[in-house]
Amino acid sequence: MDPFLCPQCGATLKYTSSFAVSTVCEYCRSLVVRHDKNIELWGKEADLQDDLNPLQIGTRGTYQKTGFTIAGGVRLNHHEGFWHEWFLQLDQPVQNSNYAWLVQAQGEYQFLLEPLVIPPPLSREVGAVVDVPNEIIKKIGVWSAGLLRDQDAFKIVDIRTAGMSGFVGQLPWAPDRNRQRMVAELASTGDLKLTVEFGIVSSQLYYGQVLYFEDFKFENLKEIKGW
Amino acid sequence: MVKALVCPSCGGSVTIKYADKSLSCVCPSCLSVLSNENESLKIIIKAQKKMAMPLIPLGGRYHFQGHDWEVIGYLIRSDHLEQYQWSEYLLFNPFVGYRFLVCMDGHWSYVIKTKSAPKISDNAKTATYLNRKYELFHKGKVKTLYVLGEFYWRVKENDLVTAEDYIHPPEMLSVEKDNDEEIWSLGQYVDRIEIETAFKLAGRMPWDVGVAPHQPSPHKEKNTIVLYVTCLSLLLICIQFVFLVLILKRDVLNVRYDLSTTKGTVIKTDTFTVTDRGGYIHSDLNANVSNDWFEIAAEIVNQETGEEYEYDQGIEFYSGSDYEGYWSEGSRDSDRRVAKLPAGTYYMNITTNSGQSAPMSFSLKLSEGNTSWGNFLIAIFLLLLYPIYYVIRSSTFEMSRWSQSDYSPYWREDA
Repeated sequence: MDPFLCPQCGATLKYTSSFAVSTVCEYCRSLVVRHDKNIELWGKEADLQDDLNPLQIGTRGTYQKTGFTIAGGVRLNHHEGFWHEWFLQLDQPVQNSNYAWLVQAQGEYQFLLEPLVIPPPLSREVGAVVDVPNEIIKKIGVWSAGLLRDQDAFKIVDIRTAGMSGFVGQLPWAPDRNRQRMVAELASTGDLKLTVEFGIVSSQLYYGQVLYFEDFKFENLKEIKGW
Repeated sequence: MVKALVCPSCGGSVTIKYADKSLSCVCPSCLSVLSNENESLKIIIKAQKKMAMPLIPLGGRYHFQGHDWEVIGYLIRSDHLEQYQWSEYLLFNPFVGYRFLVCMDGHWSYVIKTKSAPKISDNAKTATYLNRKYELFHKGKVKTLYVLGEFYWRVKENDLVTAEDYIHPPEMLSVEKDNDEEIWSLGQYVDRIEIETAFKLAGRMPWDVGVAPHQPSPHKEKNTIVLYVTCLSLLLICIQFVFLVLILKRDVLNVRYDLSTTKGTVIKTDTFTVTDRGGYIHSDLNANVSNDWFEIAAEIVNQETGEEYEYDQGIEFYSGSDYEGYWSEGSRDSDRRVAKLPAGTYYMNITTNSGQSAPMSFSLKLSEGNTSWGNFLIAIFLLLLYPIYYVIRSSTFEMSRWSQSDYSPYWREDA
């Protein structure tokens, strides 16, 4: 792959993941979006501005013996605070997922695999059950046996709407500051974590696990002043 | 990201140390609980009444359970009747996240949110988390009486939640539910010495009262005891068996006499041999006494050395009939252990005596190589003393643990 050059400053852009669509120029902080062979300048981006977050682009970690590298990240804000979503480049596919997400909220770490596309749910309320096609349940069931026995797994327990307030590095889509994302947490028990991001034509079902900081055996963390 | 703001209640200055993460904080001057909105503070609870000072000062950094922690929040909580109170410290580390340190009745727990929601059994008496089963210990309402510091959640006014605790010492699984959410956490009982050292509380530690729900039993040596008792018992049984086989019982003398008078008759037996097989000499006496007593005074004399071993042996037997029918008392047989004798040739001098001197016949049998069961039984008994003590101690501990619970297995359903 030929290197892309930043249309703003001419620096070589980092597109290390073949699943990355957008990237933020490391030098001039311009947001650049890739369309096949062309790139487009989307404007200037602020940094994540989180001096207390140990994760950064280039941080390495391990999930179930598969290594990953943080390639990019998004900060989402909602009325009760914020969370981070880190775009992970996997050393090899996990469960047919080519990439994964690491969600960081209130000191909690969630490892989520490449989302599966489902039809948009009819009801977007707490207590409603998201109708998930059988083949998708089976696919996740291979990975989490508890799911098949759990009738309440797809019941919505929490919904929040959030906007993106910052980006860094590469992302698998072109970020949009104006878009509000509606994300629901599902009641899956056992070791499974399920969330749904609602869309207009389709929704995306994220599945994975909550893990503790120590579980990831992180390397190349950002130094935090005073810690 | 430290943020300095003005308290909307008293005008004092409020510093939020981790403003990016903390959604609530408490004004140090007027103790109002404030909500950290984007650029301002909003009052949640106006001027709390001052309660206890935290034992571990807020803002301190401590190394505990493998990480550095900053104590950023303090809560005093209670049941809804405010009978039981306990304190909770919010610990923060930017890498690892948040943990709680809970102190109730001087017992300490290190608490972490669970990775997933545990599964509650159909009868609601147990909860399973990561393949471990926890037993229901307590169900009730919990309220927050007082807060200090800063918190990663929005503190609610009149915060009353439903709580359930399930135990598997040294762990406690707890859930707190309100209308919006259900939060599960796992507490690990921490030894007070570890707390005292890590949080530098020497000389200031509160006394631990009673037994905490998830306090590990100090009587954990059950398996060791079972192993120890089984091995030693088997060993004893083997030793006893070896004795039985090695020193086979053998009759050395078997005599029978018909006496015309039994008072003061003196008999000298033939000689007999005692071997060096070990074990005891036993004497079996049998006489056809009837409503009388009969006694022998015996001397076993070593033919070579002249050494004498004396013993007495008696029997009595009475019978008759009355309005209830036939009755009898005593026995016509007697068996006693005499001594251990060195190998050699012996004879016996027997002097008989009886109450009525009636003519009778008696037989006497001496045997050697008799094994003692007494020592064996005493050893088994001594061996069981510690396990018995253990069972009593450990069940006393479990009973005092469960005495605080409405779901005690030591209470019967019908009680």
